[in-house]
Amino acid sequence: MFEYLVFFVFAAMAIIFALVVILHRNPVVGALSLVVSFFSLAVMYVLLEAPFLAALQVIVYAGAIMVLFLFVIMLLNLQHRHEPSTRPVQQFLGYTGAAAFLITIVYYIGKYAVYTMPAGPFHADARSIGLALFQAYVFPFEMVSILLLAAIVGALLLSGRAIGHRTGIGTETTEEPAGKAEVSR
Amino acid sequence: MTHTFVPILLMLLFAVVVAGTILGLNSVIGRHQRNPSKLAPYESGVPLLDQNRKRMNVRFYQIAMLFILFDIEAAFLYPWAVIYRGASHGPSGLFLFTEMLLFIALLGVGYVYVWKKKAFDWK
Amino acid sequence: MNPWMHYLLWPCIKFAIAITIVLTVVAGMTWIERRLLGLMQARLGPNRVGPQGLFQIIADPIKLLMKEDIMPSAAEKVVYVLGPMIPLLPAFLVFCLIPFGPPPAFAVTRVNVGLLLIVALTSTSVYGIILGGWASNNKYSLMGGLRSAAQMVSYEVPFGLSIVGVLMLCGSFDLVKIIEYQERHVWNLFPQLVAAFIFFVSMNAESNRTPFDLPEAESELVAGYHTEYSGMKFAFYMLSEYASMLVNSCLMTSLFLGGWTLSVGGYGVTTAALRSMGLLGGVIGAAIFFGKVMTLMLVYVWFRATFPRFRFDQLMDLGWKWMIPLALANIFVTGILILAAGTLKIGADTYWYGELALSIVGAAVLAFTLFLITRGRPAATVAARPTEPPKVIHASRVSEA
Repeated sequence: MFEYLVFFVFAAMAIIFALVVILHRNPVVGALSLVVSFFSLAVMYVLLEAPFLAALQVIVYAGAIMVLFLFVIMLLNLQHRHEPSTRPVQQFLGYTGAAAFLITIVYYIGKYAVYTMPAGPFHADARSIGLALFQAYVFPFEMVSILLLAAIVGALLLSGRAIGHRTGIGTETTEEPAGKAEVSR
Repeated sequence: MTHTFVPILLMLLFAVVVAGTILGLNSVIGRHQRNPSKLAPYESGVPLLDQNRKRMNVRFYQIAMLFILFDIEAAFLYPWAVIYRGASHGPSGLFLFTEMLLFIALLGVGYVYVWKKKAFDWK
Repeated sequence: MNPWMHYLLWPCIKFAIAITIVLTVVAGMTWIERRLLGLMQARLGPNRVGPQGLFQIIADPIKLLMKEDIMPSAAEKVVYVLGPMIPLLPAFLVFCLIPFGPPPAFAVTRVNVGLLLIVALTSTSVYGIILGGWASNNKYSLMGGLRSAAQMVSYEVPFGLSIVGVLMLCGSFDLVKIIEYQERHVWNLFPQLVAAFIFFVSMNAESNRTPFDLPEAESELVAGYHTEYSGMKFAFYMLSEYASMLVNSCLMTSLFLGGWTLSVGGYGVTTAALRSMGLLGGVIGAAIFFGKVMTLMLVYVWFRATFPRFRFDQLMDLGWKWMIPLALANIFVTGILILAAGTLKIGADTYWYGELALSIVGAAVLAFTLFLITRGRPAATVAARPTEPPKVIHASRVSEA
């Protein structure tokens, strides 16, 4: 009973703040809402008896990636920039595309029945994750280090050009760091 | 199992309520003598010459980016460290040690690259 | 027992007690710090309000509560108010997870990923500083906020990595298990000397304490990220700084200093011994825990009185070029020695050889690193500035906090 209450409160929070992220004009408010949304997801991991994942969710997403987002927003000074309004054709295409995507997702989720919980106990503590990760999934695990290596090199390459001939306050164009932020995902 | 988290949730509610109450109390009790110069950005008494929000050095972004990468590395180290000892029915200690050595060595290449690119030097 | 009683009422009561103690310690700490700094700097410190200035603890919050709550007209209103509240929440949430005495009675709750959750929660306190600095709409605030965030973020990596060594020894995220492991063996401080050193340095940096108090470098940035804050909002930033000091001291006590126990190899004041004494034993355990915590808090103050502030490049150097390789080396050495102790099986006391080897190697590595860091760097970590002859204390400095 109590768990359902907690679940619905935090599920609602996750969805509402996710909507704020895409609907609000101010990028800082958007980033903050995303943090709240991530926290609600962490609570859901706890409800699924996977507190280890909840902690990692907070450490990696709320504690690290969103900090980078805020850094980028602050570095760029974006807050009072309004985009030019879009043309009706663009709006129409955007809405139909989004609607089609929504229908597809709902259809496939319905088709492949994710409504039922897996049978048997759900093991997601640190020990069982560790045993699986470092025994059965050794190769993907090692690949992660190559991915991270590529990300390190990429981050420096993208931002490093500026450092050679300039030290003070940034004169970067706005497009570049926005593209770079995607590297982190 | 989940119930051990209930106090944390309660604590969160409690902290929000108390912090909000204290802040509200302060704005009620506190003095109200506003004037425009008090509400202006603090500039050590000098008129503001340029804009307040300047663009900052791109190095801050680099540091945040590197932080994410090394933080993810640490996140992979946690489950490894927990099973490293007494993994009786799991992989052997030597196997675990070697695979983590490989993982860190690959990241070490990136670390050396960053060092050589002088991204850690703030002079 | 009624489950609601078990899950809600007891935690609430324990929590109320814990938070009272925590707030008392935090408030008392401001007074202790100022008096102690006065003592160390050959001046008086606050001594007017009540006996020995003790009522300063009450006078300060009342004064701040009566102050005008200024919101700069150019500030981002919502974020400006949220800023000081955000670092306060994780700092206080963490106290639910710390076992102050033998469980289950002396911890508000016990979670099997407690340590990881604490790391996660403390890592979010950086938002308050970033957002406060940004929302104030002041260039000093923004610069201070960014610097502070860069600093906290840089030291979070060695902070996280230094814990790994302890996890390798103890094999659990549960702080209670980590403490019980230490009472059976020895304080982790010895086999994880390097990790303890890194942890201690990083926790100083994470709490923005001297010598890492660059965000508040008043000679360059006015007051850093809280330049525009007044009244209770300012107090919240201060409160969260002290709360994070306390959190870090509690963590260090649990991870490296044996928590509520005082025992080596299972002899001495152990959990079992404390449990046999009932409630009194628990109180003794909690007293031991707080004794260790307060010692660490005093070390913070001692540091503040001793070390000059870093420059920003030195700070980044220390974090990225020294602490991270050192932390990785510590993991490497710990891994090898655990492996060796496991495979060689030198009799029943294998473990002690491993522990001893770790302590010796750790001490050697630490000594060598400190030698390298301090060598030829006059303003770096440990190097002392040439002492000036004592000056006559100016009257205005006596009243200064």
